[in-house]
Amino acid sequence: MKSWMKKIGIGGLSALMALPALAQEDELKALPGYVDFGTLEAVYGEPKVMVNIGGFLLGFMSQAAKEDPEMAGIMEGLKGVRINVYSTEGQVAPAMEQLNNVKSMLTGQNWEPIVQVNDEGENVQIFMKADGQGMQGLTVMAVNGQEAVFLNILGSVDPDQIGKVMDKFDVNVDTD
Amino acid sequence: MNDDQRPDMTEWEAQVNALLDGELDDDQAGALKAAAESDHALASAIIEAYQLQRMLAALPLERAPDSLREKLRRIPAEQESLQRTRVARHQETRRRWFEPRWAMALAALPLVVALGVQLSGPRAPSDAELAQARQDLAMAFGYLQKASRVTEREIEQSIGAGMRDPVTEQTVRTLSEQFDLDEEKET
Repeated sequence: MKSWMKKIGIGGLSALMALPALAQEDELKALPGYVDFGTLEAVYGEPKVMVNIGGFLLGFMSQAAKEDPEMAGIMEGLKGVRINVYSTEGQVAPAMEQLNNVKSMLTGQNWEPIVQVNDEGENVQIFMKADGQGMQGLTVMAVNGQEAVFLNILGSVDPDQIGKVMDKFDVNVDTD
Repeated sequence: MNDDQRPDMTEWEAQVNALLDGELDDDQAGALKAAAESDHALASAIIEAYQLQRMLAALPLERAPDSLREKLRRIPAEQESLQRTRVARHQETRRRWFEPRWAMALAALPLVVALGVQLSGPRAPSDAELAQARQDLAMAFGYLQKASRVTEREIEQSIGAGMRDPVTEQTVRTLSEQFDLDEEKET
């Protein structure tokens, strides 16, 4: 087979393979709990943590968690989870600017501020969006001298349940 | 001769050239001459063509370089060969499509299309992908808990431990109420 035919074939197959991931992202964007955080890569480089789990993957995880009632309870209302964590290395101004931009945007989109902490060197904002039918999304933004966290949970999540399942994971996100 | 009966100039040109080359018989030459007598443009064209022929005839003939002569001599043979090659290639291309391997490829086309459609749809994630997603989810929840701890700490510092729990519990309760609302809706 000629090389250009191979290239076309490989390119075509790659495009086909990428379609489900793109479809997932589009699916999340259409949900009312979705938040566009923009990007800080130009300032801080690539995020040290970047998670983007859509409803498709959560569906399979939910099936796999059927025998774990607590995990299944968490998965039940979730439609998507997105998080970007950047290392700020003491340079908090760009992240704070981004946080304030998103904060203004959320306020304009009927997100309710749940908790806001603005202490010296630490800023945490938690917003929730809900309508008459329940929670549609939760947004957490936290900026300090070590990192800038932009977390978006789509769908509903029970905070009591999260504490119960976290002990089962070997996850440590503390940097301070 | 009226306009309807007049041949167009292309036809006149062909007849004038034939006349100058001595290819017209007497009747044809007589007819052309009669036409020229009543058609000034045709008469001028015949005269100009004749003068041009005379001028060309007066030019000294120079022998073309041998290389050019050889190239010119080869043109008919090359054209013939090229034409044969084109025909052969066309026949070869047609024949190739009916060779077994191409026939198999054509037979496999529906399968390839079906495979493409299948790939474009959702595919089940592997166990490793599920494990990674589970770890990613835990990481996200870890950051959520961390943010909660920060807010608890700040509230405690601001209003004292005694008031921290009612405030944080109220926050958790608000979130839980929304979660319960979701569950009620689903049931």
